Formats: sequence, C-alpha cells, structure tokens
Amino acid sequence: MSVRDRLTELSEIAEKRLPKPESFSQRLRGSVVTARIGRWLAVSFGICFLTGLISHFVQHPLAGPWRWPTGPVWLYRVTQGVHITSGVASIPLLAVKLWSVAPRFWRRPLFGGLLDGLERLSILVLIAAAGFQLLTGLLNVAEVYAWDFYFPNAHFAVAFVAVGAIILPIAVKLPVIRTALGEPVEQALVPTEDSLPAKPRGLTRRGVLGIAAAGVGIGVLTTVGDKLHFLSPVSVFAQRRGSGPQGLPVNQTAAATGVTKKASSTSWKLVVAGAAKTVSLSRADLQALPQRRVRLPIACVEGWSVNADWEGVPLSALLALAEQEPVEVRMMSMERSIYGTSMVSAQLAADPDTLVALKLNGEELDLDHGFPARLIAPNRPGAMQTKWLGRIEVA
Amino acid sequence: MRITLPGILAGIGIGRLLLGALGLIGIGFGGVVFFVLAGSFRAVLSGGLWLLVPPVVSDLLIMPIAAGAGWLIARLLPAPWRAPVTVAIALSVLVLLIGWPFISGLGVHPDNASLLNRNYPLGALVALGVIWLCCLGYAVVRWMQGRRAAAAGQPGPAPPVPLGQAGVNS
Repeated sequence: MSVRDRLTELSEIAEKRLPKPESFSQRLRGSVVTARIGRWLAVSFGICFLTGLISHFVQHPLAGPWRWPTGPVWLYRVTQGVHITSGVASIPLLAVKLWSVAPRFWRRPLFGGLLDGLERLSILVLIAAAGFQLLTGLLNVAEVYAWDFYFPNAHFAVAFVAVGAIILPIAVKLPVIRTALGEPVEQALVPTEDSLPAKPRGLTRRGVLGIAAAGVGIGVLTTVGDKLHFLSPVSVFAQRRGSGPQGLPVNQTAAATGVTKKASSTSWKLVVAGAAKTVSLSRADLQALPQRRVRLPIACVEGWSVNADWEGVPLSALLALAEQEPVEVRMMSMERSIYGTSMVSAQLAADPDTLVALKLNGEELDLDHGFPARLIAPNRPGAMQTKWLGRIEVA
Repeated sequence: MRITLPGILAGIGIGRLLLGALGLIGIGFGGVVFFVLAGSFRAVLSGGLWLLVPPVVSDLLIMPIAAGAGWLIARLLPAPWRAPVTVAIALSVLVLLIGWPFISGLGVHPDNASLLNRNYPLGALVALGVIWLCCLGYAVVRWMQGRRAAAAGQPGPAPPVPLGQAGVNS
C-alpha cells in the first residue's frame, strides 16, 4: 500500500472516530452566548492589561522626565488590587468561553487550507497566551514558581500577545459579534395551551451566562479578602490572612535574603552620599533626628495590601544633612538581589511623607520588616519600599 | 468608509482593518519582547512549554471530561435534577480552577508564617459545600412546589415549545 493510500485510510478512520461539532450539545451554545461572554472577558482582560501596564511602568519607568505621581497614597494599592482581581475574574470567563467554542475545534475538514489553518493558529495563540497570563499570574500569587523563566518579564511580554490575539478575532468577526449581541439570548417560547407562563425546564443559555457570572462572583469573593479586609472571612483562597510580625505581612524574610548578619550588626551605619558631601549615620544618630509619623500601606505587587503606622526620618531631611537638594536618588539595600535597589524620583524624595522608617506600629522595626532602617513612601509598590538600607546616593 | 482591497479583504471597513492590524502588531510586539527579555534558551523553552499547557489541557483533557460529565448527567439523573447538578458541578470546577494552587500548598515558605497562612483545603470544602447546598436546596424547593401544585390539582407548567424546534427539549 502506498503512503498516499495509507494516509487516506487514516483520515477516513479519523473522520469516523474523532468527535464532530454535532457531538456536542448545541442547545446551550451559539454565538449569542459566546459574544456575551466575550464582551465580559474583553472588559476584564482589558482592565487587567491596563492595570498591569501601570504596575510594570511604575517599576520600570521609560526614559524621559515623566514619573509616577506621589499621590494619592493609595493609588498603586488600588490599581494592583484591581489587576489581581480582574485577572481572577477572567479565569471563569475564559473557561466558559472556551467551553462554548470548543466544538469548533473538531469542525470538518480538520485541515482546511491556508485560511482555515491561519484561523486555527490564531485561536491557538489566543488560548495559549491568555491562558498563560492567567495561569502564571495565579501561580505567582500562590508563590508556585514551577518554571525556568523570570516571571515579570514573561508576564509582561505575553500580555501583548494575549491582548493582540483577543483583538484579532474581534476584528475578523465583528459583524457576527454585532448581530449576536443584538439577538435575544433565548429563542422565543410559544406559550402553552392553558396560557400558564412558559418556564423552560432544564439548563438554558441564560443559565450558562448565569454560571459564568456566578463563577466570577465566587472567584472574586474567595480571593479579594487580602485587599478588602472586611471580606477576609469569606476569602478562602486569599494569599494572606493579613497577619504578620508587628501586624503587617512579610514578603521576603531576612533569612531568605541572607541579610540577617549585616542587618543585626551593631556597627551598621547608613551612608547618605550627596553630590558634594557624604555622611554616615548610626541608628542612634537617626533616632536623635526629628521623627515624623505617617500612615502608609504596603501594597504588594501580588495584590495584597495592609495599612500601617510608620515613624522615622524624612528622606529630604537626610539629604539635607548631606547638603543635597531632593533629586532622583538610589536606595540601596544590604540585600543582594534585583529588589536590593530602587530609584526614588525627585518629587517623591521631596515629599515629607517619604521616610527612612525606624519604627512600625509603635515598635522598633522588625528584622523581617527591614531593621535597621527601610524606605516607606506614598503610592509605591511594596517591592520598591527597600528594606535593610545600607546606602542612599544620588542617581 | 470603505476602501477597495483585493480578494478576501474586499469590502472591509477601515476601522476593522485597523483593529486587526493592532491585533497583529500586539502579537508580534509581544513575541519579540518575549525573546528579547528571556535572557536564555532555557527560559524560552520553559516559556514555550507553559504556553502550550492551556490549549493542550483544555482541548485534550478538560473538554472531553466535560462532555463525558454532561453525558453521564443526562443518562443517570432524572430531569428535574439535571440543571441544579450541572450548575453545582460547573461552579465547583470554576472555583477549583482558582483555588487549586493554594490548596496544593506548593508555594508555602517555611521561613514566612505570614504568607499563604490560611487553611485552604478546609476553605475549599466550605466553598464547595455552600455551592452544593444552594443548588440542591433550589432543586428541593422546586420539587416541593411541583408536588404542592400537583396535590392542588393544577397542571404543572408544561414544557414550552421553542419556535422552529417542536418537540425538542432535553
């Protein structure tokens, strides 16, 4: 038997054995359902994308003078909380959307030429990229780093692929979408002879939409409690209960970053290097300076946030000791990692609420919270509130 | 505004074309950035594998299971119970899609007691319990309404006939 005959035989077997679109229930599916779920998904994914871009560019500002503003103090807390929540909300929506279009995977012919192949490819890219974003995002929050790439880079790059892959089929299918959104969800039901109100028995298309909505509601309620603390009792999948040393959760411990010895050293000094003058301050020196109290949140990139009371020396006062006007400065930790350095913009350095903090919630700063001194500033991601400070210098 | 284009693009509005172009640019830009920022071949390979997980798992694993579950429900359950049980299963799956990494406990750091410090398996059981209680409770209430109507001698609501689909209502 020639190769071609064999292939023909195999394709005939496949034709009989593999599922067809008709094998799946069509009663609950259809473009009226798909288009509506798609609209919700576009909204949640769009919000997730935009808030994600904000988080990225706060941490990696583009070249140029524009800097993330210093206020309101809660802004990043809100945008990042919305980012995680809209991502979680997208999970049930993507799942129901994929369920509703799944039969089309098995449409005949299985290999229908270039255009059909391109369409299949674009859907593959969409499922892969959107799924990747939600999967890695969820695993990041759950701290399950089961991969070999650097999450922030991959997550940033694939975000554009996912959004592009969502926009492309919308552009291609726009007329179908418009029609589908205009049609009623259920076909008109003929009332029965005794003119009782006709009530559909069994699951309906409206029911499918209801399942999607309930999935979003339950998903959000079970995860949002580490951002909206009054919901903490019902948020069974929240990353944190909100407790921790000194009443504040910790992301990176001193032990994990290997900084314990240096941070506990009695000979520690904070070096403040202005352009012209450098000063070295011990902890006692810092405590002797005028202290300021502020109430600022730690807003983690993983979505949780908790407010806390801080006490310390304003950064601008320390810069003044080094005869330095507030300019863009580099905060350097004794920790050797990517998060060991952060840049503080000139406006933020000048802000009186930007402190080198020595006390948290009335107690001396805990080692895991950055003892002997850490940065705390308004409207700033937790990863950039540099702990275990060793040096401050002009950027 | 219509512009004349050859072949398959003929008659497409400029807005749609721009939207489509934006989509292609997004995909291309993201792809390039992915490789540029990856830093190593190992990272690219790992990323590629993780990109394949959603389509493979959803098309070749989850969809067949969902279809099988739907078939089983239709075979095993009497009609009034099918919708509530389907809803309960669907919501359970959606909730577990979000909760599984936390329940797994894989992310716990022994040095950090403030992280992942909830009883996730218990919380999951409570969430599932609430879902099933609500769905089955609704089914019981409907069943009792049906019995009361039957006892009072009224005919229950007859199944409706959707236009163009006489006799089909599974």
